Amino acid sequence: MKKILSRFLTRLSTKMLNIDDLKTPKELEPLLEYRPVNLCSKNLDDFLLKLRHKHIVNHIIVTDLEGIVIGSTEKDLREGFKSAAMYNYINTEIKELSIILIESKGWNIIFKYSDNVYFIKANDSLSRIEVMAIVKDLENYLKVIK
Amino acid sequence: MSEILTIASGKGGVGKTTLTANLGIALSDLGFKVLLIDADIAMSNLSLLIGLENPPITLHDILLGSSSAQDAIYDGPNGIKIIPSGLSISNYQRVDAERLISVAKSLISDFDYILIDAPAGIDKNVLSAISASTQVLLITEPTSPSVADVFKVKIVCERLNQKVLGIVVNKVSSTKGEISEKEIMKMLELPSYGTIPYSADIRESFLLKKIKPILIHNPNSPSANSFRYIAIRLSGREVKVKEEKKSSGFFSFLKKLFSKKK
Repeated sequence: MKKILSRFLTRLSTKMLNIDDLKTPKELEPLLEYRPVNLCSKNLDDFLLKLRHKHIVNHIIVTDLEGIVIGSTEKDLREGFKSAAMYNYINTEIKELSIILIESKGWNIIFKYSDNVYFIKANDSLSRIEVMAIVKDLENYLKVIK
Repeated sequence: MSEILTIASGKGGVGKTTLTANLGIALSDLGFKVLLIDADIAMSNLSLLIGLENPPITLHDILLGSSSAQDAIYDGPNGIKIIPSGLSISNYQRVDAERLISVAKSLISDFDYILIDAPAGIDKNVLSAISASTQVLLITEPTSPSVADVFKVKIVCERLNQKVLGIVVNKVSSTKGEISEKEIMKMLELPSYGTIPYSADIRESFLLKKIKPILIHNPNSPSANSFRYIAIRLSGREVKVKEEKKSSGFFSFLKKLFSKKK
């Protein structure tokens, strides 16, 4: 009885007061399901998977300058070795190299930061700001686990 | 401590430029040193709103590296300073928008507040405007498309690890279909820094021969007071809360009854 009365009064007041803001609009519901990615992780590979999700990229591979893989979301570890080799090769030709962008089945982004070579695969080319946001997150994590 | 505050919305026409101009004036009236930067390098109109005509050096020149930031600072109303954006399409295509980050940071010691008027959308120009800030203030209309777009900007800010200060809800008219301020706060999980009523005064101020911000055109209007209130909240000054008049009657009773339920 209480429920029926409450529903009746809600409908009546909504009509009379011209209020239509009592519910979340349905079209916004998919967006509201979004939750910020929590990057806390004890394992580097798990962290990279979360990082990939946060920055909406397909793969992140980190190697040292020799091509030894530090962490990767890609199962094929040769990808990391190849990206470091490519970076080193192009760097011998272009000294002031900052980022290598290759468009092939999406975008391949290769760059060096501190002593690491980063290889990011994404559907779209990333701006330097987006790339640096990924690097910052990763460098912070690497500092913590060191 | 100085703040670089970027005002962003995602959707265009929401009131970013209006908020930037009026908030800047309100903060300046409170005694703060304020600089406005028009980061809408493609569709700039902050300078029009401030009444700055054909500035010879603009943000385009700074971002192209042909002028220093100090050379592009102009005087605006009520003591504010402004770096306008240029109108040239060819320059817009050539500028390095990311340079905005170093430009804003180089000026932070000279001002209490630097307000950056971000472009609409979430492209690289918007990312630059967001990354140049210490905090982001979002503005939305109380409508679904506007809230959806502002939500996307919030997600972008999280990706870039930029702090979002809160939201401002503009063009509030309490008509049927509008999303309430409370609901927007709940959806975005952000505090509100105030609402600005939908006002014919603001539209009128755009129709003047020389456009004026509402704080100058009609300083006693409810919209002007809303901008002042937001400025006071932002600056952390004390706000005198007006006590609501106790209303009586059947409708007030019903309103009370249902507002308690929320």
